[in-house]
Amino acid sequence: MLGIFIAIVPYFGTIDNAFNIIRQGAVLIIVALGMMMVISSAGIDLSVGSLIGLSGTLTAFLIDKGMIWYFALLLGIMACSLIGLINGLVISKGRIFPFVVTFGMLFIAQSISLGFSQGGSIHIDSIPFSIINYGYFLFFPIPFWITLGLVILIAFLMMRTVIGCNVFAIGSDATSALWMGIKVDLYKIIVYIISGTLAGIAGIILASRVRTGNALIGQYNQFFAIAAVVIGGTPITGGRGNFIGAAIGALVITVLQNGLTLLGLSSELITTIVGITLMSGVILAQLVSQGGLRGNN
Amino acid sequence: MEITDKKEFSKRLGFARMRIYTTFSRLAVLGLMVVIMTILSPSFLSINNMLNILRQAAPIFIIGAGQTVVILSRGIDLSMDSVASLTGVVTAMLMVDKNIPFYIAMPLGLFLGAILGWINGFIVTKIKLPSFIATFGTFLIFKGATVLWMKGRVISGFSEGFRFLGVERLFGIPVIILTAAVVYVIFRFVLRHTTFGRKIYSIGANPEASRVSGIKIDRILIIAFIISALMATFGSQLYIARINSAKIDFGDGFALDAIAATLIGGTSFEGGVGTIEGTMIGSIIILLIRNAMNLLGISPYWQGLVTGIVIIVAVLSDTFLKNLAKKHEG
Repeated sequence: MLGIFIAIVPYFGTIDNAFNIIRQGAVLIIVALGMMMVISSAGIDLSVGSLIGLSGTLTAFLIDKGMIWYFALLLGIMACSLIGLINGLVISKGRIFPFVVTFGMLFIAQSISLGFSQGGSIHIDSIPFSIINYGYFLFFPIPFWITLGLVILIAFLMMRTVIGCNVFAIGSDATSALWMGIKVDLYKIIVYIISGTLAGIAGIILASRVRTGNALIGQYNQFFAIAAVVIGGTPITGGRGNFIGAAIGALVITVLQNGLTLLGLSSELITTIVGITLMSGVILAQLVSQGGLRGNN
Repeated sequence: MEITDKKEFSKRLGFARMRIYTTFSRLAVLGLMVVIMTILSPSFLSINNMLNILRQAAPIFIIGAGQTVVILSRGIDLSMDSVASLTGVVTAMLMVDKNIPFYIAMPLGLFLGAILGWINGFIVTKIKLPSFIATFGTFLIFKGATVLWMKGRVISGFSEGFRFLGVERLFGIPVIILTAAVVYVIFRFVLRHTTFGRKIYSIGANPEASRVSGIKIDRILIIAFIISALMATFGSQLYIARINSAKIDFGDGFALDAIAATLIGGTSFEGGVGTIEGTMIGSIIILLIRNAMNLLGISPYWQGLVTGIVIIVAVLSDTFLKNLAKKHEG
């Protein structure tokens, strides 16, 4: 696909555009990482789309009230972690389906950000804040380093620490995990906190790019993230997880959107094409994993 | 069938009790909200305001009824927004541009809706995608199709006969409320007293057992998605009849409202548990919240907060009481 776009769209192959894709893709990759952890614990987090809006809006609101930008940013991310904590607490202690809780939280988080911004969006004047997206560090855009750092961090957590093992165990069979003495509730809570926090960080990057805090900016991102995770080879039923796949899935979606936009197609047509591609990608991923299962048996 | 096993009998009694409890607890919450609002705002308990709430709740209930069938069978239909927009716009275009009378245009719109629902059902059952991924994909596709076709046009100026369905009154009661009542009766009958309804519950409760006992799961699920799309279409037609115009994105938020109404009404995502009464009460509760916040002068931006909390608390209380009942029996 990259090849096709490089061949037919003149601007697509330039370094500028590659950096642009990295900046755009950072948001979805970061959210997809959190989603991958949640899905591999056999859960789902529908609230992340609203959390992207929440962290941006809250940060913009606090900067507008005169707070220093890095404090505001920290509070914005922490608010998202807090909502992740609430998600995890209600899901594990209340024994409710993750789908229901995070669906309710989608409304709640969106409403809080709408309330703060009074329905509109808040402009961010702070120059250092916009450097988060537009600045460079060692020749690469800053979002690239943030994303790379987070990918390595999550990869380390999932592959090299006890957290990863336990999350996968919970995802494949929560009851036996409990019998083995794994603190199921604790790890579920951790997973949702991480997912919320990552959504918050993604929201900051997005807010820094558009220089506004907008409550509705992350809408539907949760579904794109889910699609990216499934395309990346993580089964929706949990138990396994492929974080590199999730990152690549997210990047594919971004490249598709970027390339089609540069082709000069109308946004409606892009929506349709992305929809069709997402579905065929998910179908393909499922076929591959089913084939793998058959091979094992 | 005579129930001889004592344990089985108490289990069934438990289910029946649970269902009655769920319905009555929702009614109690509704009653409590009405009482509180009556004290807080004098203009709340007027017949006009009550009819207003019911009239706005009617399309959400009708769409939610379709969503309830899908959720009962362990699925979810996220494509309702686009289905509602697309079919509503097509119906409007047939009536205004082509001068087709509404009693022919509406069935044509419903036919289109049925096709869209079949596509959803086909992808979920034959290609075996999880329903929320499949219907999100079709959500994007249908949305793109609508915008491409309409290019931001707004259609308005419907015939008297069509407007009758949305705004007029019959025997002093708005037609739209009477229509919702008819939908309620039909859905109750189908879900409780036909084999199709029982099969939906059975698939939701245990798909594997249903398959083994000879239920054609794929066919039933496809019908469930067709029903869901049909109700999205019908609800959107009544909605444009009420507001007297149709534009490409008027259906945005329908699916979320419908899911919220279903969940508040006690239908469970685990499948196989839930009632159509619950969804009706759920849709009224949602509109009551909106109405109450308007009357109290609270910014509409906080409505989602209350709706979200109500959803979570409703499901929490159900789970809590179910566990309590289990402890009693065990």
